[in-house]
Amino acid sequence: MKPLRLFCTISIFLCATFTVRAQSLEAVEYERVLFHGASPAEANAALLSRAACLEQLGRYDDAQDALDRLRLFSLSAEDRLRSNHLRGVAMLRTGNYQGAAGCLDEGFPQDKEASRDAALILASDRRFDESLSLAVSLYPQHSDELQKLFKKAPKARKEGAAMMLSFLPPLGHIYLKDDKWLGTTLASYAGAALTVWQFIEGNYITAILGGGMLLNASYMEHNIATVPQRTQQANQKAMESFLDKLESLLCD
Amino acid sequence: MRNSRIGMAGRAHLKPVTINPTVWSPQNYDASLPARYASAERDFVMYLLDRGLKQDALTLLAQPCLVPSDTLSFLRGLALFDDKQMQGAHSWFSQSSLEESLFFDVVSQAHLGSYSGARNTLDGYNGPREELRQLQLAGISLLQDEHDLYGNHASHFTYSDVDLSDSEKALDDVAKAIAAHRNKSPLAAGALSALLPGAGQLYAGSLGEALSAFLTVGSLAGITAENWHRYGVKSWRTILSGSICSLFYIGNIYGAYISVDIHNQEFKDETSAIVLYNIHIPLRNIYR
Repeated sequence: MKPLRLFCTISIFLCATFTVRAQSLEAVEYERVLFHGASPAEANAALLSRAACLEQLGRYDDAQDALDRLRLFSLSAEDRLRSNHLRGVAMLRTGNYQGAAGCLDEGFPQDKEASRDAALILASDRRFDESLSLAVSLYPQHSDELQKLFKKAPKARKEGAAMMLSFLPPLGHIYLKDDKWLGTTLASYAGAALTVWQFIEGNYITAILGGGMLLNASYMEHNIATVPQRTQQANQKAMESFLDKLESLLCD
Repeated sequence: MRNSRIGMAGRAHLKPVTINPTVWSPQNYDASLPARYASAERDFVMYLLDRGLKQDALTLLAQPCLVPSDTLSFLRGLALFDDKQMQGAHSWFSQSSLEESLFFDVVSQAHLGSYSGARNTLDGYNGPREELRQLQLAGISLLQDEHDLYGNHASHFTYSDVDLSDSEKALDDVAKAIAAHRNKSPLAAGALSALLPGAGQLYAGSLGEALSAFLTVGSLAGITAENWHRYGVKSWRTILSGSICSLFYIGNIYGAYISVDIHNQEFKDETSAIVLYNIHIPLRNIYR
């Protein structure tokens, strides 16, 4: 590694370490305000700052916990919007897209950062048209790339369709873009072949017990019974990948 | 730059940054910084721990401006204890000469399975909390399956101390349950499953496993019987299905043996968890 590059790498590492430490301490100090019995307005200010700090540290669950403790009766309109924004981002980062959209619908602040997060949340809620127009208005310089990206926006895979296709392996796997298709497919076809072959041979017990067991294990227990879970995973994975790409374009 | 704000590690990707709690290590004391004393932070640390804000407590206690003291060692041990980092907790508690550190250290060592270490720690105690000491010794005796020793320590229970009485009664209940419990024999389970597939699992108390073993071995036996009947004993089909059936039959016997071991271990784990809880909970009442 060249000396300059080594120096830069070490500097970035040290800077990040000290920043994380400083922010962690900052979050603790906001909690201390509450420990000392702050007024509702002070407590709200401390909790909002703490939540912002924790989000920057990637501690989204702790941030949501801080937001849950806000004294809603004394929350100003401006702070309410800020808390919606912070909560929406925490939910987005933890994969709770529906919850994040709910926060957005309650209102976000009007600044650029909140609008940028709103574009992400709208996309995560599959409101692609709204997300695109907001993203383009914020970052017109990336308009072409954004248009191109939104043309490839992930379509929600339907559980019913995946279920139907799963009866003929590996169509269900292909539909869900699941690369672990080989084992189940081979076992299903082996089970079906064994059943038919043994029936033809007149070995009815072997056909029913042997082929039936194999078919049941591969077809029912894995291929079909896991469809709801695999559909959800496929949708989540596709959305995460799309949001990653979108986020990389939402910058100056 | 995707984002110029500092501390945006968590925002750079959609997946949250995971912070590994096992790498916690406090910074060395720096005498050039304005000194802060752990005794002044004790109430705040307790507040953080009571609210489940362990990470915040650990952050606070890692500062280099904190003057080394027994209280600091105790609080660091306590924060790690709450974070279930028992090795670290034991290490910090053992550096503190406070009474509460000693009793918490015993619980950490009991969690780590170092029962003789915990006993040695308590042997060195000569303070006013004799009944608490006896309670912890009784608990460790139960964890070590030393029932006579438990009786000796339990004879010191007065059941009149508000902070201890519930735990004393709970330990007595555990001792009675252990005395009434008869460990099942893995050999008997294996023998039963050899006679009837699944019977050993049923003896161990696992109905689902018993049914599964019975149906699997039964089905394979049915297939083997059909092949034998139709093609004779020397046919490759009979040999193949018979071999698979034998494999599953042996597996069923071994499974029954293991099931009983698991069943016995589950009972032990359950009673150990109750004991560990009850030698710890009075400390929360007394010292927190």
